[in-house]
Amino acid sequence: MAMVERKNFLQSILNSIRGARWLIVLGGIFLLGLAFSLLSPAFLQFRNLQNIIVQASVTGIMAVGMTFVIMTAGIDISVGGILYLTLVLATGLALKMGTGGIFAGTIIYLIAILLGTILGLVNGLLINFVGINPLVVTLATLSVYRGLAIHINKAGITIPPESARFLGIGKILGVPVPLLLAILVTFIGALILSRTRFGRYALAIGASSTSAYQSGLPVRPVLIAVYAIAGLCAGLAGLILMGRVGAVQTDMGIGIEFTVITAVVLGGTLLSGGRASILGSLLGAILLVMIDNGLNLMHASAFIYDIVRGSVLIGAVLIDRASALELFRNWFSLRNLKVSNQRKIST
Amino acid sequence: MAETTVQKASKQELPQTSERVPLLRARGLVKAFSGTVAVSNVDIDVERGQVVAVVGENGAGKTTLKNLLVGILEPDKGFIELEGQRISHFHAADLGIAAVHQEFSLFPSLSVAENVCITDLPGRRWSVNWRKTKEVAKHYLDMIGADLDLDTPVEGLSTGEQQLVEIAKALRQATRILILDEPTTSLSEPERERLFQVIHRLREMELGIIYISHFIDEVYEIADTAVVLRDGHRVGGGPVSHLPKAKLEELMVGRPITELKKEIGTPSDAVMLRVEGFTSEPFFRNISFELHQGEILALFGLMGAGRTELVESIYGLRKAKGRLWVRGQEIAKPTPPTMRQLGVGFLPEDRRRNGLFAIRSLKENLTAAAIDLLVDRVIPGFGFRNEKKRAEEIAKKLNIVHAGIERPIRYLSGGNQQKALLGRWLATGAKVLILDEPTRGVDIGAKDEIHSLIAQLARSGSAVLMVSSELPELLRLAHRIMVLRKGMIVAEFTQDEFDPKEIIRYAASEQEIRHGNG
Repeated sequence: MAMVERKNFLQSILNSIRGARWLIVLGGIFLLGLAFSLLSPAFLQFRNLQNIIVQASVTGIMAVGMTFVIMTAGIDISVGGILYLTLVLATGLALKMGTGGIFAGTIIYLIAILLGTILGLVNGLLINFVGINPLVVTLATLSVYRGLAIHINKAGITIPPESARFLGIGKILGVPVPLLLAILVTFIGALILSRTRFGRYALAIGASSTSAYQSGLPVRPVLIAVYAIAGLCAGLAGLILMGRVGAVQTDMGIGIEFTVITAVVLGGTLLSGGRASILGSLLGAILLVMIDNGLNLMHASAFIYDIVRGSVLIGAVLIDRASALELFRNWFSLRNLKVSNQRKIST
Repeated sequence: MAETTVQKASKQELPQTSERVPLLRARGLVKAFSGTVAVSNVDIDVERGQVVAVVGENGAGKTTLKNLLVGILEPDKGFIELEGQRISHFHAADLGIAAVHQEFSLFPSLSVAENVCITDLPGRRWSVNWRKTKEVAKHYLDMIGADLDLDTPVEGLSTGEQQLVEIAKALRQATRILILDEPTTSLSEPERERLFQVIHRLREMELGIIYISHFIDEVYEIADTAVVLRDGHRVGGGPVSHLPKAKLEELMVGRPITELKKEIGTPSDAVMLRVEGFTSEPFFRNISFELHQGEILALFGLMGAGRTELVESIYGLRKAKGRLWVRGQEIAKPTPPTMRQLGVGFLPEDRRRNGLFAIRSLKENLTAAAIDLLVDRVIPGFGFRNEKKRAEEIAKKLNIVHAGIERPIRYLSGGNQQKALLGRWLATGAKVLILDEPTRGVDIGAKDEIHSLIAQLARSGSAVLMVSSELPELLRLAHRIMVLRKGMIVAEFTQDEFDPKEIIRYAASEQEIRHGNG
């Protein structure tokens, strides 16, 4: 009997973890924050927290966009390429047009966001109309976008006009703009997910695209749009990064797709689609950025972060899998069985 | 039980011991899937050199029985003996048991020769002897007289040719028992003849053969004994020579048609759906009919008759030639979204794959197709305040048993899931419903509820086009039954002409076309 109770207890814990993942991630953020601030005095310094916020905003905004892709059971690994190419094109075009002054920033912003959406749209169209697997398409476009950008940029560094740095370093009422943007994007994303037809359709398609199609839902338009959203978010995130760095340089966005996808999965969105949490994605991004930052402060090897990030991804996926639950269940039932067998023998 | 022990006169003197012990003996097999019993207490015996036919309607448990006998599934209860020895958790090929599955187990991109030999490629340990592979493949293909290019990838072959490859592959493994699951559905007439010759030869080679089919004529052509399954139970059987065709048909159709005929109202003259000259080779050709308001029109036919393909084409899931009108409006190119907008609902045959959003809530499953109708007008496009209320209404109306409307639908029973899928179209207020096997795999209680619901929908003016391979259900519900055989409407019966045996005969056997009187 005791065994049965314990089993149910464990099960309910696992179930609740799966139910409200964002709470767990939030808890992780606080625990980790506490640990890092104890381990490294530099962690809680204003400058460092600001760093974390900006970096987490970049990753978080991209993660919100990526959430829409992943909830339809898709994937987009070209977001880092989109980020860099939009910056190169936007700053290049703006500088060519010779716009200076306060409008230069606005123009760069508009171009970058528009281009990000278009590049994402290209992904979506390729996936849906050519019928190639999203992983393959975005792997290819990642290479194309980045290659194109470096080719255009001649692998150089572009310095954007000062007015274009507002999204990265600006403040409104003392609050950093990146933080405001991240909150805004998360809010809008959550609203779209829970309150619009589009969000519903995206989740339904992720749960079963054939069911969605046979129920007469507009599968293809939604599947194209989610990639456009991911592109838009990558464009926006790039603007924050550019503002922060003060330059457009070739290493921007390299490998960021991995962090972004890990953040999404960590936040409770299923890689197999059909379940998503926008807030979870943002919190996942914050947690990952914090780990990176903390390890840096502790002068850990840069590769430790890669190891941790990879392990976090596997752990998050494992929690999601029903089989993890089954594993526990089987393990216990096996033990129960053994116990009962032994009893039989002894009596 | 006695009927099964009838021994076929053995062709050869066998040692006494093995004479007594049947080649294959299964007793009391039970298999349930998440509560639904697919096979219930079934016995089967196969002697050497005997062809045992397993017959039954779709969903009677034939395929599950096959999967138990080849070790794909483990029985919940009961046992299987091969030559007197109990077998369980076995690998069929090791025991000389092989099956030709209805769903092919071929590798599309591999060649014919590779596919035939794939289970055990000739060669040394780490290498494959390709010349030998081809020789072996040719040997088995020649046995069934299949003249196929050995190097062609299987995906380039017709379905009939693929079937032959599948048979050759099974032949190589089958040294004791060969199980054929509906092997003729995609074969041409000459191919079928050849297959029967092969079966005769295998019988002479003392193999035990289990022949699964719902074509009654084939049973008499090829089998020595028959086992009739219905709803997972063995309802009869014995040597075919002692089983008149009529008796077999009756056993298959099953329970006497209950007097529980549903009140289905009278259709009006308004044409809700009109199909003209619908053709999609090789599935169906030249299909024309009209569906009226308040009418339940049934499409009856055996598996492979083209029923599902036809209704899927009407709903726009497949391409087909022909013309289509929905409520008087001609639809040039039907697609599911346009059909939904026009008030046409579709209930797919494969509920799990094509209907459910398993991990989403019951509520969302109920409102999935109607969500555009539920969007709030207050802040345009944002929020659906009435959604929950609407979902609860429908769940209540359909008597869906659930532990919370926000809980994932996958926790519901099959019958409740199916009711929810019907509810999805109720929520849209669809006026034309296309239902493909609406009661497949649901328990009796839910089945009856679904029947009542369909009848009620018709009474309230919906038009229902219903596909089913269960005749009793159509006899209970339909105003009109069209019989589809090999892609053609071969007969049409109005309510007063319903005659189960007659209908089965048109569906299952080679019979002339009957012209409806209407």
